[in-house]
Amino acid sequence: MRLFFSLICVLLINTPSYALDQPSGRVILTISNALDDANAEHGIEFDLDMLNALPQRSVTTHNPWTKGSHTYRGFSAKDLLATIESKATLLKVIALNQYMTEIPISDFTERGAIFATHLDGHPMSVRKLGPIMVIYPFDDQPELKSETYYGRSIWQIHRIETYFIAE
Amino acid sequence: MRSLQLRTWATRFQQWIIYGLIALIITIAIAVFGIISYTNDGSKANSKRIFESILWNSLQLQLQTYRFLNYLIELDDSDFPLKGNAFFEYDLLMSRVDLLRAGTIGSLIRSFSGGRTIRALNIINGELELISLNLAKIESGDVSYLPDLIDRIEKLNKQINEFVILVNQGSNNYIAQQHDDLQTNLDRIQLLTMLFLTSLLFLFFFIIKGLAKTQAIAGRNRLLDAKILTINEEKSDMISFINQEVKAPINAILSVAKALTKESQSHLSNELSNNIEESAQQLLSTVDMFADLALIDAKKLTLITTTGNLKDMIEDCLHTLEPQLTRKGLQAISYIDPSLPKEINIDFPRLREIISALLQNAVAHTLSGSISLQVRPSSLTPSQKMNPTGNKQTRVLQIAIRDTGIGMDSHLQQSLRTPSKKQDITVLNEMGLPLTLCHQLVNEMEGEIHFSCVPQKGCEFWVNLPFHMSVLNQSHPPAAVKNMATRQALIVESDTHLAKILSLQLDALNIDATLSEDGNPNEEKHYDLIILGTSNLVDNETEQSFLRYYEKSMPFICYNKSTHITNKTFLSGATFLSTPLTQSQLEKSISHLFPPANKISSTRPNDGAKNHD
Repeated sequence: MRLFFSLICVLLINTPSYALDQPSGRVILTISNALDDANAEHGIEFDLDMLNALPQRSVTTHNPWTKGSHTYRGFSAKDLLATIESKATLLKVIALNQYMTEIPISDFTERGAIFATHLDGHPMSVRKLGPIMVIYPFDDQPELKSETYYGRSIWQIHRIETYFIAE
Repeated sequence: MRSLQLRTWATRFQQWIIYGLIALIITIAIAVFGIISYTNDGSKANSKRIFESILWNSLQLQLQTYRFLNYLIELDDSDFPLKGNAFFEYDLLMSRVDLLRAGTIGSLIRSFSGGRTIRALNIINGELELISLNLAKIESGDVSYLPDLIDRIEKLNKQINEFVILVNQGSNNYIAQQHDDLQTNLDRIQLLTMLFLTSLLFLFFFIIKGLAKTQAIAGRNRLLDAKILTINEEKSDMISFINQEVKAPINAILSVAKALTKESQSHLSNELSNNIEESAQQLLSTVDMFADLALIDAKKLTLITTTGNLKDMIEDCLHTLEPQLTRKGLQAISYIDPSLPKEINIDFPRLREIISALLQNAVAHTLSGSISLQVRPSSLTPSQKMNPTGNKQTRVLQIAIRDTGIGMDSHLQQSLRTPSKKQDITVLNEMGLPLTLCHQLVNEMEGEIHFSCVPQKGCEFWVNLPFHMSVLNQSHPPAAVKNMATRQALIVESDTHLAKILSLQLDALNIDATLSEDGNPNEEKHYDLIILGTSNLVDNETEQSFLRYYEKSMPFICYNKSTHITNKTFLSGATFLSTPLTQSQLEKSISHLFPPANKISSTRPNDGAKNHD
């Protein structure tokens, strides 16, 4: 419902045609624009190497799902959207088990959240909640330890839909 | 003292209550903070999320198991080679098992149902780990293992279902426990908050009370400061006053002493010595007056009654004033009513101070004429105030001091009519030291003081003082009166005030006196005695009459040497009285002139005439 009302203000952002490398390995992430019918089904596909090519960021923190502190490495949604030249402000992130959640881009630009692809230096397997997981710096910002941010910490991500909501 | 101790104890008790309240408030605040922190702890605060996560993940495990089973059932030849897809699905399932075994969720599941839940999860995990071996065969294209794999997973579903039920029960118990703990803590916080508010209220009350007290004390301190300032000013003024009072006699002593060192003539030396003595007496008297005032101010004056001769004391008081009277050319006379007892019980030194003060005041306000001092029984009966013990032997005497002076100024009269019970420098300045002390002493002796004043005619003070009768003394007439027939005397005196008192003195000696301002005697009347005082109206004819009386051996008594009489022949045998005219002096002279009957044969009136000057 919230999405419905939000979309009143949504401006269609056409995914522009740009020169991205085609994934050579297994596709682990697909980005699509929800309102772009032409592109909605296929979207832009990324393999791990393509994601690793994005500027890498690290977050070392505890979280409720694992024991002890771990270092997560990955990319920011800001860099990902810049790569595809998208001006989206909201992401709908979908997991392998079809669980989905919405994350505003401000979480990545202001809260320091990242899409983690590596756990303690190793690529994250599906069993280790990979291949991609949203992680927040819970230790650095205690205010993130809330239902809202725990709910947005989605794992086993395989698809992202982008939305632009006018301020 | 006891009240002061109680007040000190109460103040201390109040202080301890305030300290106790502050300590209690701090303790309560710490306790509330601790409970809130404990309740707000991350794990506690997220209990709901954990509860939901456990349920969610266990249900996700069940769902993923169905999906995996469904994947395996729907596999057909076209799906091969599987290229790791089977393991991908398997990992998705196992990730759920791992989530349930790791982290906070895993720790919590271990506590559910006495360990049954974690045991069920371990069995599921073990079975799924074993399945992975068959899955590897299938991945490699050996489908013969597929039916067995499907069968094993179907059998595992029952255990997964039981696990979900156990998780549900455990998490429900957990959340119920959390709610109970939270409620308990909230109750504690509520109780502590009430205690906190109550303590705060009490503290507020005590603080307000303390503030009010502090304000009152500050106000009192301000008043005391002002009082101290006033006292200091008064003290300073008092010292100036004392300085002023004692300076005059000291200067007099110093100047006389200086003159004495230069004087070689013995008669002048004696006079100067007398002056020194007089000034020293005056100084001593001033110092005594200050000492008495200080004692009265400190409420430490103790009246000491002694038995003494009233007449002697009164006449001695008058004699003390003799130098002042002589210098001013004043005459003084005393009269003690013979109905008063000869000896009485009273504080004589204080009585003396009262009389001296009033006499000095009279001298100060009289430029010419006379001063009289009468002591008589008062018509007043002793009041309860005068005689608190109800002693029947208590009487009241009245001392009346009258002068023929200029009278007191109205300001002083006003001050005397409304004297302040408290002595301060203003009163001293207005009334002067002697009168201030006089007032204070009369009050201390439970007496009364009154006065009347007529400008240019003089003032009269009368003081009523209670005294105790001496058991041994009763009133009795003077010795000269005994066995003496009534005689007639002519008083030649233009000062009627003086003449009246003189006639009273004579009356006490059984002598009827006739007053004459010009001295003209009534030729038809027989006189036994002529008393010559001060009169400017005596003419030659009167003087001739006096000579005739003299020739008839009429005794003369004279108390004014500088009388205006030109022919003083008849004064050659006169008896001279000195100033002041005391009753004793007159009595002595009369007894010489008219000796008692048993002595009359041996003493003739003229023979007995003796110059008392």
